[in-house]
Amino acid sequence: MPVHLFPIQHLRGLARGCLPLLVLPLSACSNLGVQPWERDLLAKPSMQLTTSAVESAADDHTYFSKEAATGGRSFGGGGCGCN
Amino acid sequence: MQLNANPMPADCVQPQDAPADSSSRGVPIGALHLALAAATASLLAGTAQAEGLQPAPNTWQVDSAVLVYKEGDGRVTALEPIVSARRTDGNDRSIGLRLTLDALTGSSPNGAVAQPGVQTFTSPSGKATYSTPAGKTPLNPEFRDTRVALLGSYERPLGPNQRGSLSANLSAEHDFASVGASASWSLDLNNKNSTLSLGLSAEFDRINPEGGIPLALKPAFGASDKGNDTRQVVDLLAGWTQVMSRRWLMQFSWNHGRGSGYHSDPYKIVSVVDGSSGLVTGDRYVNENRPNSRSRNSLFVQSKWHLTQDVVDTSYRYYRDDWGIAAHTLDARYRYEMAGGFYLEPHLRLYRQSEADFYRAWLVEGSDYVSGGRAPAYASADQRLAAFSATTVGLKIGKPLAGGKEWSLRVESYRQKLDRPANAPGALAGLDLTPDLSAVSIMVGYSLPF
Repeated sequence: MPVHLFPIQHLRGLARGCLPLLVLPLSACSNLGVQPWERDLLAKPSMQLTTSAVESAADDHTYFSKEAATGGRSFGGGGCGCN
Repeated sequence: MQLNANPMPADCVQPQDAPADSSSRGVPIGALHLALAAATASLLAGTAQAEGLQPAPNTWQVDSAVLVYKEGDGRVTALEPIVSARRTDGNDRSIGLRLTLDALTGSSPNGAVAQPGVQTFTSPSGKATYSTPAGKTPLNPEFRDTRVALLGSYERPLGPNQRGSLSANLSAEHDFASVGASASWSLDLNNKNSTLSLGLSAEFDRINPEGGIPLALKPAFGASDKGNDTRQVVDLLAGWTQVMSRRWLMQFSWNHGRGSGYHSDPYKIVSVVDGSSGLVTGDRYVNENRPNSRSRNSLFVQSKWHLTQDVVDTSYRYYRDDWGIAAHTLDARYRYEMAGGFYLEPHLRLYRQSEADFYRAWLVEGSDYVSGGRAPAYASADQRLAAFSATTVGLKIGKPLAGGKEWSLRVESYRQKLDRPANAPGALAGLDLTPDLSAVSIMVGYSLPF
C-alpha cells in the first residue's frame, strides 16, 4: 500500500496558498516608490537616514571601542588604538 | 540630509528649514575606518531618499558637537569635540573637512581576573606599578590619550544618475597612527526611488605601544618582541536604498571587512590560575594573543516611517566574524514633534554578542597553559570579546532655527552586562568577576551655515 508521507494534493494546496504570497510582493514592487512631487515627507530633515552625521559618527566610535561588532551601515574597518 | 545629485524638479517640495548637509558626517576619533565611512555615507543614503534639499551654493555648512562620556567606577572619561564643514558649489560638487579631538583619561581593565587578595602590576611603560584591591577587577589607571583625526573628502555627480566620492583620512594618538582612503559610487534607479551604492576603503595602521609589542602568550611585563607592528584593513560596502512609499524609506546594506596584521591589544594580559584554588600561579600573567587576521560581515537594515508629524526610525544589524563572534543590534528612535518647533527623541538600543572562540577570562595552569611550557595558540581576556548584552537608553531634545541653524542636547546611558564565566575555580567562584560597565554621555550639537 503506498504511503503518502506528503500527499501531492498538499503540494497543490501549498502552491495555491503561496501563490498570492508570491504575487503580492511582485505587484507591490511595481508600486514601490513615489513621484517627484510626492517627496515632501521624504525630503524632511527628520526623514533622512542619518539625521545627525556628527552624532552618529561619535556613537559609532564609542560602540566600536566597547563592542566587538562594527560596520553594517558603513565601513567596518580594522581598529583604533582604543583601550 | 542627502544632497541632491541633480537639479531639483520644479514640482519638488523644498522644506524651508533645510538644515545640515547630511553628507558631512562627524569624524570618529582614532578610528580611521569610521571616518572613511563618512565619505560613503551620503552616497549610501541615496538620492532615493530626499530630492530637493540643496543648500545654497558656495556656502559652508558647519556641524559641531561636543561629547562628554563618563564610565562608572573611575573608568574611562572622554571629552570629544568634533567640527565638520562642507562646501557645495553650483555644480553640486562638494568638499568636506572634519576635525575630531578626543581626550581620554581614567582606568581601563588590563584583562587580569579578580583575586581574593591584592594584586600588583607593572604599568605598560614599565616605569611604575599599580595595585588592585582584593576582589576587584584589575584596572590600569594610566589610561591617558589624546587622539586627533582629520578627514578630507570630495564628492561630485558623475552624469545624471550617478555620484562618486573620494576621501582620505589621518588619525593619530601617542601609540597609534592610521592612514586610509576610500572611494564610493552610487547609481539612482527607478525614477530615483532606488539607489545602489558601492564603496571600497583601505586602511593602514601602525601600532606603537608603550614598552613595545609584547611577546605573545609569554609572561607579562617582560621583554618586548619589537617596537611596533602594523595592520591593514580592506572594506567593501554595498547598499540599496528604497523609497517604499511617501511615508516609508528603507535601507539595506552589507559590509565585508578583512584585516591582516597585528590584532592583539598590547596592553591586555590574561591571568594564569590554579585549577583548584583559583589563585594566580606559575607565570601568573601572560600577554594576550589574537589571530593575525580577521574577517567580518555585517548585514544592516533600516526603516524610517513618517507618521502624521513624528518619525519612527528602526534598524537591525547582524554581525559575524571569523573569531567566532556573532552579534545582534536593534535600534529604535521616535522623533516626537512638539509645539514651538522643538522635537524630543527617545532612543533605545539593544545589543547582544557571543564570545570569541579564544576568549578566556583566565587560563588554568596545567590544562590551558603550562608555565614555562605549552601555551594555547590564542587567548584574550578582553571584555570586548566576551559574551555580553548591552542596553542604551537616551533622550534628545533639539530645535531647528531659522536660516538652517539647529541646536540639540542629548543624554544617554549605556550599560553592559557580561555573562558570568562558567566553572570559576576555588576562590574565583565567590568574586564578582564580570562587573557591569555603565556609562553616561552628554552631547551638545550646533549646526549653522557659514
